[in-house]
Amino acid sequence: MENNREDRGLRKSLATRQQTMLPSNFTFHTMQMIEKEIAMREKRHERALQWYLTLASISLPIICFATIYYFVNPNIILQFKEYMHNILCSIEITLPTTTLSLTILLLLFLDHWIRRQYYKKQYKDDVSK
Amino acid sequence: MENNERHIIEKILCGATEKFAYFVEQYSNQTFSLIIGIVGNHEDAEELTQDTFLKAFNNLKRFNTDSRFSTWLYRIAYNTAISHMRKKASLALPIDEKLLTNINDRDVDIALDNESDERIEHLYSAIEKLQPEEKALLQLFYIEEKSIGEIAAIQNISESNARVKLHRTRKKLYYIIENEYGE
Repeated sequence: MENNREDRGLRKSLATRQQTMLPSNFTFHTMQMIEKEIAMREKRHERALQWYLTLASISLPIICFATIYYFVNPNIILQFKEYMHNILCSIEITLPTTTLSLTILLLLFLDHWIRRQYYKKQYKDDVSK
Repeated sequence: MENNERHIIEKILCGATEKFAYFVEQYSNQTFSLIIGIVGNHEDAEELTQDTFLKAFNNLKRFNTDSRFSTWLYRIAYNTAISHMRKKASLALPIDEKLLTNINDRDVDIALDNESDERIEHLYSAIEKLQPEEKALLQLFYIEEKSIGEIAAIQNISESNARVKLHRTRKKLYYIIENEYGE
């Protein structure tokens, strides 16, 4: 069977089907596509992680609450209501609602501003590299 | 597999993804050559070659470093091109296998060894009438000069099956040129 490699006519005919070449920038374009794929993969991974975190943050208190309710203290709902009522009342007395809201807004703004500064700096570092 | 390639793969898997350019640079022309041999169209072949490298990159974790990277890549390229061809209307000529058994091997050898311009032209159109799998087989055997073992690994068939298929494809080519051009 290996002797069939001699089929010179067939070989020449097959070679005539090969007369076009890849463009010289093929590697560059392929690597660009791969980089895009990596970025998309990272985004997908991040999104999935965010979903898992959200799911865990929601389910953990529910599970804790349910465990305490079923295995420790069935009156927990009543006690929790009472406790929350007491807390809210004490807040009303000690802290006016407007002050509290303003403080939260200020902290959120600060958080946003610091994050922006941090990403700007990181971007500049990446560009300078 | 070469130690150098194994080392590069390890680096890519550790995050140095830009090192994949080595494989694109090294194997793009061979991969393109196989694909164009199957699909016969430059634009489609270029796109499918890119798809092949993307698939190889995405599945690099699954690559067994004990085997040859080129064989693995050819297998991906082969499967990509074959699935592309399955979506298209086939020009392949259905031939009764019984007709091929009566063809003399010596006649086939002489016919396929003829290098006249006319014969090359006839063979060119006869190749177009073959199944994509058969075109790939000829491409791998005659142009890429792969061994029967490697062809079998790329096409995911046994070595004896690859041998039989090559034998039948040669006879099929002879049958087409005999019937269409009455040589």
